[in-house]
Amino acid sequence: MNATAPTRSKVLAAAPARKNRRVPVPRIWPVTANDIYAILGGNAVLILAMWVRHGGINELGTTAGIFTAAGEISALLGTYLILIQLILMSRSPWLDQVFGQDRITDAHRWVGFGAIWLIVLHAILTTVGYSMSVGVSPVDQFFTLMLTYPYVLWSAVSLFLFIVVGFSSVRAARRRASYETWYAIHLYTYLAIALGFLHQLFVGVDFTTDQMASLYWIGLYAVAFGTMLAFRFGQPIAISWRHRFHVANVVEEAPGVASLYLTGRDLDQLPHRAGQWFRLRFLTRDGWFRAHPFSISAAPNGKYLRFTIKELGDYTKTLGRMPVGTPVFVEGPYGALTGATRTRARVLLVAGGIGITPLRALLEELPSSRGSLTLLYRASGPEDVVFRREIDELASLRGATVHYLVGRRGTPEMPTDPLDPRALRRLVPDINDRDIYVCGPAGMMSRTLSSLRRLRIPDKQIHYERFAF
Amino acid sequence: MPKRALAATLLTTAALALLLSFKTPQTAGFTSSGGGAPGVYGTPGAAGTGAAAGNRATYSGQLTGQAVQTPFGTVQVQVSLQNGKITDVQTLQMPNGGGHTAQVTAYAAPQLRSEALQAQSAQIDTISGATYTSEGYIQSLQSALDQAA
Repeated sequence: MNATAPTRSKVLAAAPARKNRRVPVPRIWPVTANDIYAILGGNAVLILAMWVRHGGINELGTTAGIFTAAGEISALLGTYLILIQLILMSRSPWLDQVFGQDRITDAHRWVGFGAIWLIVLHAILTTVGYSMSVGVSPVDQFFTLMLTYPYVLWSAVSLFLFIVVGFSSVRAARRRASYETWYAIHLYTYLAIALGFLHQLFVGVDFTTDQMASLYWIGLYAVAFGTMLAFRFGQPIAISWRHRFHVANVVEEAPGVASLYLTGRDLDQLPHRAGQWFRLRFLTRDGWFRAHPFSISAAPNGKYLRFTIKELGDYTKTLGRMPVGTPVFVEGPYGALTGATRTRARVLLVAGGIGITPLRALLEELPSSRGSLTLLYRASGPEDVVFRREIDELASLRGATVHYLVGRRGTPEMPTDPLDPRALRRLVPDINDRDIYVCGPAGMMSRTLSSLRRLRIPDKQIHYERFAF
Repeated sequence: MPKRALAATLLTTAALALLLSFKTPQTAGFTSSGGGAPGVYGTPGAAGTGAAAGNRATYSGQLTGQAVQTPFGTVQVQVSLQNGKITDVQTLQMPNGGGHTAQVTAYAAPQLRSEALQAQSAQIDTISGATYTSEGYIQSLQSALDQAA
């Protein structure tokens, strides 16, 4: 932060009053998890039925036929999983609303590995099956496939790219390489999908013999890519164009923690909720190509979006020095950690470290009557507590209770975990009758969630979203 | 980063151009071994009208079988008879699409021909892995032979 940046008190003075025009909330999509499972399962059944209709069962009479049939099924299902991957990564608000981005990312990881395994299996089984059916060696068959089958050479390159992407995502490799490298490698999946497509239509027995099946298959691709285009590209372009976001102010909150204020046109018409997050792409020479997710740390107010960022990586360090006026490409809002999923009148917020940001916004936005809103703020040292003044101010204004749980576990002043079941029950006796919102570092989150389960709090009262801090 | 990204993009584009320029060799040659124009849909009886019924034993000449549709393509054969003896079976049309279909045809057609020459009839076994093509072949061959009967 440079010396000419406005001081914190000036920002607060300039900040609008607490009572603001109501900001619209994001639309609620009429979709449930079961709807999504039904659609995914239905298409899987349809794909298998297609295989049966084209004589898949009849193939099972010979060994060659069994290999070929298994090769077909693994190809169909592997490709289907790849298309599901596109939808999972489309950042669709309806998916986000149902599952939350962290669970979508988990699913993406395992569906991805599953897809790659199936496609590898397809390549091996089909080569062996074909070679047996015409009585040549698998090696000869491999060369025949590469050189005479339409588009199979392309698909081999596609498979190679998928395998590279798979290896780059294995945890050991992920730890060693930078995020940017991993991301760049991941972009090759689009190329892999494109290169694999034509051999499916020209060699796949389900498609060479049945035009309806081909049209259905092309339809699946169209839906997957359409969803991705609409929500991953269309929606962010539309809101960034509409609202023309730019950096309005940068304020240091604590050592190594800065708040960025973004303003723009008609922000009172940008639907979003407290607890949600946006992906920000600062349009500078060396920043435009990376987008980073940040939670809003103040409730929607129609005037500005505030993001509070802890300097962790090489990149987040530069954010504290972002020049005022820098245009920002904004994607979002995302996140299901909002008041929309609340089931009880009373609420407990459990924050760990910089995980306070979305909960700070919820503390401001969730309805509060005396005693109905409690915040537990866990930090390993006093210097890690951000927003202390703001939180105290909000708490007294709104009649909320705040407990700061500061210190390192296992030290004399904090011999036991302040978030274990017994401590939680003591601090918040009516905890079972509350909705609980949890956000913090991974270890703190999993300890808190297991405490809540041991307190037998129903899952639908527990709200959390894991962020990579 | 942008410099390395540029290098990676250029390299990828070059490799892609190379890959896309690869043309799969035409899978022709699997189609027919004879000179008969594909698409000649022989109607049974047309070629053998001169031969009276019961003449199979003495028939000499070429007979074109039915064009039989299979899920993988059309099968049509032409049989050559010398005094009622099958001397050759040529394929006018065989399934040849989709890589594997062509490969299976190339594998099955010579076997079906030698089976027919050996059996001197259309009572031959289907080739496993080429069931539809074999059935089409047998049907077309039978319809050709029926014209001499």
